[in-house]
Amino acid sequence: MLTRRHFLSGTGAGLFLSGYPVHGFTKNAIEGRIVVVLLEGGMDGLLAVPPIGDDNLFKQRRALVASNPLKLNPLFGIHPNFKNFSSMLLNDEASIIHATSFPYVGRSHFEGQNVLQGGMLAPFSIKTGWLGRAMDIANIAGKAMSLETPLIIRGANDLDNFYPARIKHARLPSSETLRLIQSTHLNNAAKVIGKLTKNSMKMGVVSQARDPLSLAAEAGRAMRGKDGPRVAVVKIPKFDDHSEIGTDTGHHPELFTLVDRTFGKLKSELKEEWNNTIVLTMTEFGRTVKENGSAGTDHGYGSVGLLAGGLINRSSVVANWPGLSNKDLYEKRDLYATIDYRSICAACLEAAFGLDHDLISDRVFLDKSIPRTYGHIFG
Amino acid sequence: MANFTKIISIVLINTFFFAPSLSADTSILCIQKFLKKTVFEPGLLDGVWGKQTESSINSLLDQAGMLKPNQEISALDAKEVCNLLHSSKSDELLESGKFKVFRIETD
Repeated sequence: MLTRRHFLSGTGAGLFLSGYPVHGFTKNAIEGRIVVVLLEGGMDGLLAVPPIGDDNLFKQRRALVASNPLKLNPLFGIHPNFKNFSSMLLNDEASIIHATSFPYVGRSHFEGQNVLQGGMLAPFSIKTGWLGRAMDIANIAGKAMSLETPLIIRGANDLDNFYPARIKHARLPSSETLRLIQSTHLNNAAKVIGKLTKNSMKMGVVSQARDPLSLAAEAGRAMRGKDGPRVAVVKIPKFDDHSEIGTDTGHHPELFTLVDRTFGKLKSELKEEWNNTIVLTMTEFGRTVKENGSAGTDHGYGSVGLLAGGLINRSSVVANWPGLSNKDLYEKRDLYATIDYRSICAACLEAAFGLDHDLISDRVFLDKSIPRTYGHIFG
Repeated sequence: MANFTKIISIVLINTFFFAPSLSADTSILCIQKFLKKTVFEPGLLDGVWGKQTESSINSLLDQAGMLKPNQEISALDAKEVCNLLHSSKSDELLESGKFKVFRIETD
């Protein structure tokens, strides 16, 4: 049986490129690029972007506030490991959305990932992804560079896919991945995969997540080309820190560094095309406001979204701050999400693809009530 | 006579405790009601110019790019601001007021 733990351990970093122009089909109205960085496992937004001006932050999680966050304004700071991203904030090419989430409160990784990729209110309610549907509408169809096409970029016009072998570690079979595949097959198929797994282990191959920085570099190089892809999805896993999450140092701060370097790598490799790009992070949920008994945090609700790229003109933190006193928390434990992250995705689509907001609401998210945030981010 | 004294007492008490409601300004109330439709909290809808009303209307207009550099709205501007809030700029201000934007302060 495929369990949640198997799913999480079996998923590594990944890169998916899509939207290569197809002659005679692609209509190039606005040539913007979108890179989605999927932070799998649930990033702790309060550790990443602490609301240092809210006294309740220190009352609720004193041990989980970095000792020297960079102060952004009287209310918000940012973890010091976000060095590249902080520079982008100071250069008016990045913004932060706080107390935000997709409208999902179930705290399940499976469901949460499906909601944020599908873009619907309920999990498993659609077979295409919000980015794929937007590409359909913008006539940006083409190849997806992946073995499997993630839900987020699946759309009706997805024509083909392929997978490059030159990405770091891509040639290495992963024992964990093979075990995962085996667990989903029966009889002879399971036996064959079992043999492959044994051989893989004999060869001393260990499970190794493909390096997100190499993947980001690959994405940047591909996307800066004249006929390069317009859409990339980079997956960074392992944010699910129920224990020993870290504060100044530790696992979550290390992941912050990785995310930060991913932003830096994308900018350096996209070169001039960075000016025409928006990069946005997405995570399935935030984490509990209070620390649990294992120096970690559990599945929560509101978190942060990090946006960067030359399409932003003026940096800011966009937030309808809900507060952190006990009465302000969702179910007395989570940061309330006061901004529907679909509205942020919609603004990014508007900026990069030139689609009308009402069209995005209606045909991408199938929900006409999504508010327009374009002016707050790109205005 | 006793009733008359009672009525006078009630009037005096009301005057003393609820003085703001007696001095409510319709233009200020108009601003407060508009702010209530946004995320910029006006405080009590009492028609009185307080710190909360002043801070919120300045923040909203600043965020929407409708303040000149160093311009600050005071109670004296209430009528003019009320007119602005109900002009063709109304929808734009309502859209801007759905979310708060905290600028990055570099110094």
